[in-house]
Amino acid sequence: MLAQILVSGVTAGAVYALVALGFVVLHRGTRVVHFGLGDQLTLSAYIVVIGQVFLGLPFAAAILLSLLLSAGFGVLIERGVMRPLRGSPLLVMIIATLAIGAAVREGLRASMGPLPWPVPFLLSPAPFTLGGLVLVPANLAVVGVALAVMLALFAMLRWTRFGRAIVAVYENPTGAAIVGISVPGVHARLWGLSSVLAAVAGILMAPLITLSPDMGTIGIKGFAAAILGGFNSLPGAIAGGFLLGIVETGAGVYVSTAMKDIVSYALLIGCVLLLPRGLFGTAEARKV
Amino acid sequence: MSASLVVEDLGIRFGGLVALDAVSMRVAPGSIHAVIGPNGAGKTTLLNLVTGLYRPTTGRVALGEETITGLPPHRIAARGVARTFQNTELFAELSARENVLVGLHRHLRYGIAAATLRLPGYRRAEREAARRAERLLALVGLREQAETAAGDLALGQQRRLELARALATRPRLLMLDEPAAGLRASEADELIGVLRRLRDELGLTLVLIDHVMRVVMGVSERITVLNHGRKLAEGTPEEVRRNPAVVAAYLGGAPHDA
Amino acid sequence: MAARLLLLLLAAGLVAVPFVAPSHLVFLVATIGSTAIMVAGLSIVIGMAGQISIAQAAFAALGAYGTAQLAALGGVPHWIGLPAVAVATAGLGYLFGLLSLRVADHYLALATMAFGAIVQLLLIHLEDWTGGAVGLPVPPLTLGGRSLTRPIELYAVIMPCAALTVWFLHALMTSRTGRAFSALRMSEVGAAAVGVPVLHHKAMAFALSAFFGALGGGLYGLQTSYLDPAQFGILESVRLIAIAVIGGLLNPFGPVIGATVFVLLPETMGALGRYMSLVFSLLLLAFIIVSPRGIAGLAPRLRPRPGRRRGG
Ligand SMILES: Nc1ncnc2c1ncn2[C@@H]1O[C@H](COP(=O)(O)OP(=O)(O)OP(=O)(O)O)[C@@H](O)[C@H]1O
Ligand SMILES: [Mg+2]
Repeated sequence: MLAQILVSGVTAGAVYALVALGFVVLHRGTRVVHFGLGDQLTLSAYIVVIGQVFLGLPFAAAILLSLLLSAGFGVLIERGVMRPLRGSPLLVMIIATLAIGAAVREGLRASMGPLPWPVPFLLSPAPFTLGGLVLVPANLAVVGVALAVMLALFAMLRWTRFGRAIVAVYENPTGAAIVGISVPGVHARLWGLSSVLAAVAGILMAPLITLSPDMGTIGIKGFAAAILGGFNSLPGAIAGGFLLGIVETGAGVYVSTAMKDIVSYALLIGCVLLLPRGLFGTAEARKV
Repeated sequence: MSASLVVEDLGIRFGGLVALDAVSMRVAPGSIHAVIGPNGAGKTTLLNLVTGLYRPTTGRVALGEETITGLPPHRIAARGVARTFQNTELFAELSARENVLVGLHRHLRYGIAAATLRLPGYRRAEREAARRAERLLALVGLREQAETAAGDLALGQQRRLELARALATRPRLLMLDEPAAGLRASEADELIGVLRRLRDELGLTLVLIDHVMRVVMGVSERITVLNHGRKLAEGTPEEVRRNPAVVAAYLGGAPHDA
Repeated sequence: MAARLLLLLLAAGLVAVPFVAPSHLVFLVATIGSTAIMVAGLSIVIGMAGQISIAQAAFAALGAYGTAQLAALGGVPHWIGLPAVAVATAGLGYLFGLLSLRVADHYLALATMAFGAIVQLLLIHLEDWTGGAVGLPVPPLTLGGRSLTRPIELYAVIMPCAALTVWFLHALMTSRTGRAFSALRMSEVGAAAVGVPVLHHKAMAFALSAFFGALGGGLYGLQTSYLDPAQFGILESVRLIAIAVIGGLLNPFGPVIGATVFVLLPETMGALGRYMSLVFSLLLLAFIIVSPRGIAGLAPRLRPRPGRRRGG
């Protein structure tokens, strides 16, 4: 039973981890928490559907299109909304990102209708049994792709110019600017990058649950995972994602499926209260 | 009535940094007591500990007989401790008058219902508060600026407004964090006069942090010198001025006027 | 003087509406009233106290469902049930505000959002109590054995409540409590240092926002006479924030102004109606980008920092 929970929990956890990474990647560099990231995730999944159903693209091409457009959308948000708002109080930022999320969601509802759309699985959704565990190829594909994307992210941050500029801004924005890195440029990249991470999560997620304009609520869980991880650590976000996925699946089994989401939101509030700096974060006090 | 401030063994650490290390001092009622020391010595930290903004890792703070260690800031304020901040913490969008009115918050005793129904209790309290605010603004020379937003005042005016706001709470102990920083010599002299009057006419106990020696030496009865979080010396201005350790702490040169 | 005259005209107009306007319009104006009451809560918690809350729809849901079920299951008349539920919700809001002891900023935003999500999920899953995903009929308001369901009758109940709410906002802003809210919005340490109990006031702000959320939600429920959990999600909370922001957060009339725009505009859009929510989200976004500081004084003014001159 426990092993089965782990296996199922890891699938959800992989998706949460990606969303959490999206939050943290962005926040570490820009200090912005993007409350609309969940809705961007929905948008990306819809673009795949649009590409396939309306444009007749092959699945792979539709995914590529979605990733590209998602990155572009992220950069657009940075240019069009965040740059003009630089230096505004936190409350204004929060409301702005909420508005972006609402616009995306309502735009999808108005243009695509409120009803769910089918999204193809990456691999067969037919379960098979292995050593007493029920495994689903589609779920394994989700975990596999998520892990690959995470590895690619770390490799990029480490070994590419693009990534090293981001890390430099993470460590010390002033210093980065002094050595000639364009901080606004990096911010734009971070928006693009975080949007792509959300897009991958959305595309992986959509077939497993139903794709409707309200799928973005899942963003709250990515957020919770990021908080569990301390909100400023990339490995922390991943650990938080998997942890949340597993705990939530356990709650679904041992409490009730109806209560599964409630348990995980309640857990989130409790966690925010008891561990405001996450499992991996450190405290900071304000000086006066 | 004034109370003495007693600080015993007070210490706090931030991660690995010991910002204040077992500092003890005793401030006599009705006196002006200065705390000086180089940058980062722990002066502001001491004030934050006394006013409850930080919780100490070790030690005790008492007002007269009563221990106040660990009380939240507003309860300490309610016991008659008021302060100003090194980087003023005014309510920037509120007018100077409203800033002082917030300082009177504790002395206004009416509920939301009374305010909504505009009951006589509300009217009386607000009228009285308006009068007090007027007087306090006049005291610090801001009568003309009563309706100006605090954030739009000049630096010297902001410092005076913060003083008025602190006085509005009717403190027994007033703690000032670098009130003379950035003031011109004439303004600093004026400040000395105000501080003396607060002590002599209102009987306040004052704790004064400052770097401006002209102010510190001019008004304080006793001086505590901090360095790297520790108490380096304590005594009358004359004793402190002659203390070689103090002279050494200030980069080998005698502290001079700013 | 001019302001008084304007107010008088407004009051006269509102009294005249039910006599001259078609009942559809009367219904809409009453909707402006009940929406403005919900939004007034946000003026307090976001506008005055500077605390972000993405849970207003949840408080509205508690007001609407609570009132409906008190009447349906307990036979409690709305005249007693609605105020009682609003007060109870305020108590819950107070407890919720105590959370701000531990968290602030985007963590608080998230906690309020999660609370909103939980309430909505409970509405869906506690079917025995809430009617589940299908929803719940609201027993009508009754007076002397007569059901008050016509728009005019509800108008006569809702509009005085809305007027009192506007007055309350004004009175609050000019009271010690309102000043304490503003103070802690601008500097929590400054407020605490002069003896304002910061935590209590944050919790009070949440309590008041919950009260008006529940009151407005309950009244709105009487108008629609049917409750659907889908109406009380996070998006509704965001919509209420949008109304508050566009109406003006520090203006006692802000909620009414915002609600007027948000209620009347869709009526004039005809076939474009389904794009309305999108339009409003974009409107909110545009509003913020064009004047981030126009969010009525939310921006702590950039102020000169004391220069540091010191002895060597
Ligand atoms: N909240 C905090 N977190 C971490 N370190 C702190 C905090 N508050 C103070 N410190 C550290 O404690 C030390 C003492 O700081 P403090 O502000 O008390 O010095 P000060 O004597 O007031 O100096 P200055 O003359 O510059 O105002 C400094 O090293 C400071 O960085
Ligand atoms: Mg200092």
